[in-house]
Amino acid sequence: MLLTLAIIMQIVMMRYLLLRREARRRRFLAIWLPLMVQSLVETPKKLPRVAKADRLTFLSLWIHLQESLRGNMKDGLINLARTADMGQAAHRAISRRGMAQRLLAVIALGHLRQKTDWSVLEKLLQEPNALLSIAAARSMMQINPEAAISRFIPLLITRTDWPPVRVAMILREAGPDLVSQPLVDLLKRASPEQLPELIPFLEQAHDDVIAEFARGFIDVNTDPPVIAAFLRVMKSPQDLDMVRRQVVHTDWRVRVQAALALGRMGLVEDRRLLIHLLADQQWWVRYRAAQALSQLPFVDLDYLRGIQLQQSDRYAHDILDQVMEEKV
Amino acid sequence: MISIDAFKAHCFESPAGQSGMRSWRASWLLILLVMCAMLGVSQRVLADEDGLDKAKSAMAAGQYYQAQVGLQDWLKLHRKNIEGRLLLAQAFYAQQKYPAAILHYDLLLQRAPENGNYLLGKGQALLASGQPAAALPLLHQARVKLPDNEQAWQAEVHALSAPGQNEQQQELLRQARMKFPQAQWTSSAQSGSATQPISASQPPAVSQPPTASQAQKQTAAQPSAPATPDASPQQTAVPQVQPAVTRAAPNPAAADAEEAAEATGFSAKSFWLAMVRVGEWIFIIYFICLNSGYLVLNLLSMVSLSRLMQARVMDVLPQVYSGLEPPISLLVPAYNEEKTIVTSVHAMLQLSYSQYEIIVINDGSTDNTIEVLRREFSLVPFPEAYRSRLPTKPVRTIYRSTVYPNVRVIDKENGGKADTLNVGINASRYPLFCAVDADSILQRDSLQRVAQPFLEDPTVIAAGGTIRLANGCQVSGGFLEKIGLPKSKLAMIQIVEYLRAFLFGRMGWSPLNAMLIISGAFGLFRKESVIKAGGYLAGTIGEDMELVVRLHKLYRLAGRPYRIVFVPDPICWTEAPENLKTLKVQRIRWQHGLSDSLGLHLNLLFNRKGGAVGWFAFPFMLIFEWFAPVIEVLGYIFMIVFFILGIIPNEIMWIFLMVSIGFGLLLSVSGLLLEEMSFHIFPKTRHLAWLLFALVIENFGYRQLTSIWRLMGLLRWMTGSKARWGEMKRQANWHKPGEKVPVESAVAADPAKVATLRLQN
Repeated sequence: MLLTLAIIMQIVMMRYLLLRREARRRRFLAIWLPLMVQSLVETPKKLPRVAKADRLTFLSLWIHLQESLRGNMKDGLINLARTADMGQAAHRAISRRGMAQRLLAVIALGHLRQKTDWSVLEKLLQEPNALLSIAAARSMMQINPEAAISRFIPLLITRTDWPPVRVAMILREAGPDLVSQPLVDLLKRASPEQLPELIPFLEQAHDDVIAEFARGFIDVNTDPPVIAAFLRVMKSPQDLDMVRRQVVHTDWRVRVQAALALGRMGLVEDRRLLIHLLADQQWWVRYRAAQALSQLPFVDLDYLRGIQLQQSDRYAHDILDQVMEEKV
Repeated sequence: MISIDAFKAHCFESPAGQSGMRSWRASWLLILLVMCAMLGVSQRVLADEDGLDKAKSAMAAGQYYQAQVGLQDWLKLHRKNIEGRLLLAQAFYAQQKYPAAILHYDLLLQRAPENGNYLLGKGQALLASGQPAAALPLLHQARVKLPDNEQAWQAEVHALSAPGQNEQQQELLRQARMKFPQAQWTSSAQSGSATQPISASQPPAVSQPPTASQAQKQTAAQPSAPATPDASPQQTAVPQVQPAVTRAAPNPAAADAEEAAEATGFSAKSFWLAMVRVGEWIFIIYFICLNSGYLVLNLLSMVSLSRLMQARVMDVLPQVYSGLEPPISLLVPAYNEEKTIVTSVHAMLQLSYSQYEIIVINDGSTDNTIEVLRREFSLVPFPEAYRSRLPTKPVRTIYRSTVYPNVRVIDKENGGKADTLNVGINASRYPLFCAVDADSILQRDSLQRVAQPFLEDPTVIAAGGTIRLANGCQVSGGFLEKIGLPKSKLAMIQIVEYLRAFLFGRMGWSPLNAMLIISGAFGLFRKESVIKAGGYLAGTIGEDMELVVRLHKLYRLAGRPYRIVFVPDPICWTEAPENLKTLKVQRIRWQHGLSDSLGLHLNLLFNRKGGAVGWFAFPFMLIFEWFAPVIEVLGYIFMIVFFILGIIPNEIMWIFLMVSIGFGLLLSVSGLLLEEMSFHIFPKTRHLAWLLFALVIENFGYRQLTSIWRLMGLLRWMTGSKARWGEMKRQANWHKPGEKVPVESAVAADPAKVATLRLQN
């Protein structure tokens, strides 16, 4: 009973503290939100001191605004944070134990873009905690993209704990010019088991780089998940021959991707291949082939109906029915 | 319906039949062991608390046989107790079972060879059994060690009855007459019954028998057995000593029968008393284990939640779709959902996720569900090349929306929720599917949140989220607009119950990869994994739990890596029953579903490859969820009835109340603590106060009532009664005042079907 009462007391105390925090946060926002908005246009002449208890609120609000803006408007916010000595506050927060504080601080350092913070972030890149290390990678990318990419991409092989979505976001922010070649180099070093997880990141690379790499790769690699992964990222018409060869692959996952790839970049003469796939054993292959067929140039509903009439296979007939209805 | 026989058959005939049989046998073995342990405990309780005292009383009352039986039982557990052994020897002596008496005196003499009492006892027994020559040296020693003991003198005189010992006997008689002038002394020659025992008709002395240490020192004391300390000289004089024990009745067989009957009565009564004691402790220990188990889960949840809440700071980053998010098929089974389905689908259309489709599956509704959908979403029949990967009831028509390209509606014959979901899986096009109840209210980011584990870990095959109760909240356009508490105390109690169930009932198991339930109201699954497992099991009531348990079993037994995870964010809101009738139906159904799910996969229990699921979660669920209503209901009845009858002491009753209600309170409070630590979604302080009030009153009536309903569910499952979903009518007044209610819903609303579930503002 005593324990129960103690927990009730704790709940009440937590609620009291929460209300106090909320009230404090509201007061803080009332002062600082206008100042931050003003800083987008001009640096405010006089800034109030940020109390120790308000630093995390400051960072949270400031990061939110940073992430919502594009271009030069961010500079005003950066100046504001530097004037308010938030760089120091972020450094102090990084050395603390609380994960939330550390994460906010790491993200803030990235937005502050101070080269002096590089070494701290580089150290954090090796952190076992996936969220913290990936946040450090992004921040490094904001400070010095060229240097960061050379440290970040090689880690993709070992850091399987990094959420792929966040990795893809970082690669996208860095741009294809920066990431294409390092990604190709990485894939060349990766083992066959690692490839299916890494190939999707190639989507952030230049099409011609993907094509060139894939050409040399697919011919020597027979692993269906790897081929399927490559087919998924192929966009260049130069690769059509390679895609066409995969239409007869024994693994249906490859055939599905080949049909999809033909739908993306196929030519009129690819109709024959896709019609052949309409009678495939796998529903998904039939469906994707029918969809791809409907996307090819000069293919309209009448043409599809004509193809349907020629089909002796009931499944091919049914799937064309479905896709024609979807196209309407 | 699945009965015990059915699931035995399932276990034995399934591909994993052998292991199933082993598990089944292991279960019986376990039950047997538990029963043996209980018997052992009952014996111990009986022996510890009553055995010796009862034996003493029986001896004092001259009921030697009963005393003998009781002592024999008692001595099984107290082999070295001298007091009990001495009493037993006396009991045998009194019944003229001299060899047995001699045997036990021998055992006593092995420990204390010089003890005069033991020497005297054995000597008397030998004398009585017609061995005066063997008795004489012992009796002589006894007389030397107990010079003031009249019986020792008498016994030795008596033993000196053999031819050629007359002189010695006369000399001893002379000394005896001098020492005890009040007593009448005669020689055996005069009595003519020299070999008869002394005072066999008298109860042996049972008052203050010597302890082991006392017995060794007590050389000069009065003998406690078999002589009577206050025996008169007349009674103890040799000639008067008759072998006639009072119960040496002319018909020994009848006497034996009587004794046996008495003995049986004594045993049965004691047994029941022991069972009461055992029962008390079983219930108390059960409640302690139950609540301690949940407390451990609570601690695990605290750790997980605190980590998760730290990571939530990343939410300040904008949500950008990378293109790597797996597309999701939302499966919405609908049966007579004409009032809510349109709002629900409209809300689902506004979910923030990169790519998803909505498939509403009408399970042969008898209301206007399909018409409402057809009008609202401009449905047209669609010639879909439907793949029947999972067997289902026939599909009547597939529709697609001409307004929303990602909406399809499937009209099928009625086959239950599991069958309906299987149709949805067959028709789904994406690698992940999310089963959503038509009346669920989703958060805008619910798909994003629940899909997160799939993005981070390719071995994740299923993820479930926290379901919260929308009673008392304000809903607009299918989304939650304002959070509040219901006026109904019943719904308020269920809010506390849901907090407990989700925040540590599931969150605690998730880090161990042993979560056995993903709520049917909202759960995300990897489609191929579910299809390989055979889809939802049609005909079951708890199809959501059954699927999760089956997935665990398949992956565990195959040794394949997988994860089934829990997302604690409140991502889905649903209505709770606000009247007892609906609640009763719901709880009976839940228990039935739980029984189905566990009963079908018993071979996971303590399976070598079962891991945390087979060794912790499954047994926990079996003992503390499946079997809980039996123990809880019996516990309450047992404790209250026996307390009223005065059989259970106050202290025990207090302990029981403390562990059942006190611990229950503690658990509920810790659930609220977790909520306050993490999401604190109830913004007002008065909400907190009401929840605290609810968690207190929950323990007085509500929990007991739900236990009874759950017991009913269990009994129905055991008897093979058909489970039913029951009527879950809905008011659909989620909309904030003034909001336009979909016309079709309003038109279709039947006044006779006014919902029993009201979402009060």
